[in-house]
Amino acid sequence: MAELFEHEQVLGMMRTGRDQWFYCGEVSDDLINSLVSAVDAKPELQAVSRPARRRLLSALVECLQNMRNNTPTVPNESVPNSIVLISKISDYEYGLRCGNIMLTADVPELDERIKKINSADQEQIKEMYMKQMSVVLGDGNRKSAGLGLLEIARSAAGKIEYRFIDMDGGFTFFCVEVNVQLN
Amino acid sequence: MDTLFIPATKTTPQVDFNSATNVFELKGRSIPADAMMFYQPLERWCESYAANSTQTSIAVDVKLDHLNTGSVRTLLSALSKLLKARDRGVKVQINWYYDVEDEDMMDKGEEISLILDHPFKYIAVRSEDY
Repeated sequence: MAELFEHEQVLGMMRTGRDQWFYCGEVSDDLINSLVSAVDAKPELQAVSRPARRRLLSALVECLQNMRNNTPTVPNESVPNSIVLISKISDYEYGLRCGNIMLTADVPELDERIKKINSADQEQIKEMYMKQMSVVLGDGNRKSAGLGLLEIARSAAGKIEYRFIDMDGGFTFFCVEVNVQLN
Repeated sequence: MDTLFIPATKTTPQVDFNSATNVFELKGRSIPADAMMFYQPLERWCESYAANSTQTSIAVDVKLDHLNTGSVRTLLSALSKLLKARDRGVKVQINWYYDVEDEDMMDKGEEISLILDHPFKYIAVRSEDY
């Protein structure tokens, strides 16, 4: 985890030729739809059970949508605002590594939210999801308010690994890593 | 009221809300990047239908094999608007189809049912059947 998104590591993984997808740039609706379709069309994923395939796609979709919704415009165009790496870890496990620039002012709230999710078991996460969904419906609130993270936690095999990297100008690079079991 | 029909895409389901038969069907996968944009016409249609329908009963057939969080949120909103028809004496039956080997999707239906406080009928089928 300490090496998460180290430049050389990412390039090294790209050179291995293993099953993986790498994207660096802005996450748009079209990119999300294309990436999900590409992963879903993979023949070996067609062979796994429907719930397992859905867990992988759910985690991927929610990660990407979180990135799309929470990445501000950054003045320095030389810095990619989003990175996505999807890699096959074994026949029964895929890893998702995503990173995006966010406002440093929003870091404490996100940090607290993930810590709360990581301290909960699956049943508690389900309760949190139901409660939050009810609140969103009742308020007519169209913002996700952490529902995406909860869905990622429900799909992932373990805790949400994450890290904040300080940048200049009130921006922070947020990295998140989850593994999804396919069995 | 006009029938609402939206063909399926790789990330959005087929919508066939037939006002002639009073059977409203959602079928396929619902993982759009912008769920609000996709479901907005559906929400408006449900709101209008609930306010104007003269039927005594309607059936909603949900045959989805995958919903992302945005879809759950907007589907909840659309169904809650449709359920307002109950205030006018309309019986609303929601049939939740799921693959016989995919109980996770049945669980998802139970979650939505609980939040809406409206019982669903759960129907297990083989995936090739829907």
